[in-house]
Amino acid sequence: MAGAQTNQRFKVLKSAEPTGTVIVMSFEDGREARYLQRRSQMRWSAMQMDLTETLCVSSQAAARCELTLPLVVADGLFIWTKHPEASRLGQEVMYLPGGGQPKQHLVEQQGVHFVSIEEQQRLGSRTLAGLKGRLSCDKFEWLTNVPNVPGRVLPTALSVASWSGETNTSTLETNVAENQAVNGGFDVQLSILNGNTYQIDNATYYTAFAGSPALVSQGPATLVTHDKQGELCQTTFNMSLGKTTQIINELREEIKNVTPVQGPFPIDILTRIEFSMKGIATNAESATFAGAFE
Amino acid sequence: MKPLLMVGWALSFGLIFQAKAETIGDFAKLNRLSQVIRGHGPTQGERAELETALRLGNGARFLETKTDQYLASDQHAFKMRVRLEELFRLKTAARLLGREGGSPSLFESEYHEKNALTYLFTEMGRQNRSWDDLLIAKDYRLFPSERFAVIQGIGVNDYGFMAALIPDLKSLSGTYSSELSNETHRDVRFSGNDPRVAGAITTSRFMTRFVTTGLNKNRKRAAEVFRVFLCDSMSAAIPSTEGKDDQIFDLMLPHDQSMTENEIRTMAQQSDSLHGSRPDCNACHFKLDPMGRTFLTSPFALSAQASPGALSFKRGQQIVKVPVKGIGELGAAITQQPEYVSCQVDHFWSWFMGSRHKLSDARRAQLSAEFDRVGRRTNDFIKILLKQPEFFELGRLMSEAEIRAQHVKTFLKKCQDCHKDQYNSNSDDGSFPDFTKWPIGGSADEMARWTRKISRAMDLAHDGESPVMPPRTAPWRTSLREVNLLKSWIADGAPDETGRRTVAP
Ligand code: HEC
Ligand code: HEC
Repeated sequence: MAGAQTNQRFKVLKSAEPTGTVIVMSFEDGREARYLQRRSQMRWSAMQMDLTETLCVSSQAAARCELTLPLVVADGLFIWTKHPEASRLGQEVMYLPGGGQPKQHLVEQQGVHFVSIEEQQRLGSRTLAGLKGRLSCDKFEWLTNVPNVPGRVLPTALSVASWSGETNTSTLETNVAENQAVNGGFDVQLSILNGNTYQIDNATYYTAFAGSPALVSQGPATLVTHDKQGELCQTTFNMSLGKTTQIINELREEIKNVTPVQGPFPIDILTRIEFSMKGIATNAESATFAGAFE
Repeated sequence: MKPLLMVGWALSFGLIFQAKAETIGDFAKLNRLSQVIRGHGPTQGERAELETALRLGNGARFLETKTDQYLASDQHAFKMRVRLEELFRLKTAARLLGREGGSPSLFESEYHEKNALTYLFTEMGRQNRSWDDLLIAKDYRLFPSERFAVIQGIGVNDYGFMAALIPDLKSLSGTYSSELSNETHRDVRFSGNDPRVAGAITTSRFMTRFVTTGLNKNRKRAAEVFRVFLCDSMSAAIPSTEGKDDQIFDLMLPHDQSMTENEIRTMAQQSDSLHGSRPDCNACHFKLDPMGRTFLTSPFALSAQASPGALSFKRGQQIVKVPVKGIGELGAAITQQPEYVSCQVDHFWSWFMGSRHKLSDARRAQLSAEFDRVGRRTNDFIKILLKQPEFFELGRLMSEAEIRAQHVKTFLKKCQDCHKDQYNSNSDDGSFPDFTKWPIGGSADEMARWTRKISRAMDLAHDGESPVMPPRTAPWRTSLREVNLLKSWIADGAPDETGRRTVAP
């Protein structure tokens, strides 16, 4: 019985090769599997941000903004490269948790990856020119304190002290789901692209929440900036991801027909999150699992 | 020597006990010291040692030595941690150990054990730290606890939480970083006047427990700081989380939102006078909003940029307002208020004396001075409490009348929590009498007048069907049980603790 075989030990080996990071699961019993990815095209997606409240300017002028970020949908999977049964070679490694539970994919399926500050920072010198996010608004008074009049001159560069996104979720302290700020960035640096668009250059700190990117949230986003007097103030937006969801669904269809490849993706999405989702801590030298791999 | 024996005594001495207290024997003393400090009774060996000491006439010295030993024990440090967890309405270690049924997942226990706040709480007793450190400590032990951030989706861990202030933690914290830390923890220290950090309230665990949103504007956090450190409970008086989570969560949920933020803000700006057009909102928000501002830049992790705000509250009819540059200064400002000192004395009193003894105003003042005298050090102050005559006095049962009066006062305290800061347009000086000080208003006539008003305000005649109090804007409603409690109490002539009527029925 395959399911009865438990506690299969393996190591996760990573090696940097010209084609990118090679990730291999090496089992104690001699089997080996290699990590490959399927990736979609990159698409730009615009998320609508409607100003609901600003404490930065006295006029409650509504503003409509768009946060535009490139995104891809990617899948990861391990493919058997050494296996005593020839028929398994080239097939996907499946995880059998045992206890009558169904087989599982080993890594997250069809994960959505926005190109955002975190990619910029992770890639360091390999900066993704032309792939920086953008923030466009019909009115920028809340951000710049410059009245929305013809011929206005917006500052060429500025910084958002804190950009936070809300999600409805629970924490280990309360176990009660409530809206809460969970991700975002500090000192998010913007530089002007044109009369109604700022480019998002970087942030001195960001945190992403359970795999979603720093600046994207399902719930409202709150930006802390400076008012005319130079004092901190906040502006809150309702986010709507409608169009983005549509793009994601299209890309998800698309990757079903893509052949898995190893190698550099423009965005080097490492698999830690995906691993972790199955409980594999990748810093572990080796991991033991209750359950088997087939 | 079962403590239950005391019940018998109490029954016979019952009501006359307050004045002339009986203390317990030496073995019972050792037992009480051990129970209260360590959470379990003395060992067989310790009893034998006490016997010997008593024979040699060294009983008192022996108990003193034992007190010091117990205070130096890990169990004491752990008990203080649990008390603090309860005070902050966090999940307590006792719960996690499964004593309350259900065992925690591995992640849960690792998360609750290994974080900067749990560590600080434990250090209070272990290192005899100054109690003020809960608000002003600048040193932390940080734990990476990487997995929670990713798997349980709870935002950031200690490393991620502090990484904006300590950049080299960043590479070890972001959920996308590929290399993990091999460190088990890291000790960090900020300068003594760093406006960005403030002991317990700038920890990941605190901010994860008390989350914020664009609408909430850190008021939940501010309310918690007021409740824990200034004993100013703006929602309701709640003893602890044990078994009462539902009640607490009801209270935490946002209340009436009929008023726009803009209106609140306008009022907050006029907050130097409490007579705004909506004084009912302002009464709490003139305190919450300026304090909430100090958290403004740190919604999900701690920001490297301090956010100015203010500590503001009412002392009698006077408004105290201390502008601060950030949370760090806020913490320090709180420790300078007399309200903070007496509030902490109250916490200690209830931990070490329980409800057996009420703390009078004079005793509170005296103990507050002692708290200062010992540099507000945790164990040093506990030792002072253990030397108070009340500590070894026999417990006693409360009479029916006392229990009833206490229930009524506990309820009326919730009204008082709001009224103390409100403007009353129906009175000459704008003030309210304290409903928990009987006779309300100072005389039998006034008491009668006020019970009628309370009756009307709560619509007791119709079982609380359309009450005007608490107002719609309050974060809580009266339960039917409370309506019945008040209704029967007033119908019986509003009896006090001795069972004596304060008004004619
Ligand atoms: C008795 C004290 C008190 C009064 C009176 C009061 N509030 Fe509050 N308010 C609070 C507390 C405490 C919180 C934070 C509650 C929490 O998040 O747990 C709060 C939070 C809020 C929030 C944020 C809600 C959210 O969902 O996070 C708003 C908006 C608000 N109050 C508006 C008002 C308005 C408008 C009034 C008057 C009509 C008012 N409050 C009167 C204590 C009060
Ligand atoms: C959230 C704040 C709040 C809470 C909670 C609250 N009140 Fe009030 N109460 C007020 C305010 C404000 C006024 C004054 C209204 C005015 O000036 O017209 C008031 C007025 C009253 C009055 C009339 C005072 C007079 O001089 O005639 C009574 C009686 C009263 N409250 C009873 C209660 C009782 C009983 C409770 C608890 C069950 C309670 N209130 C809880 C805010 C509160």
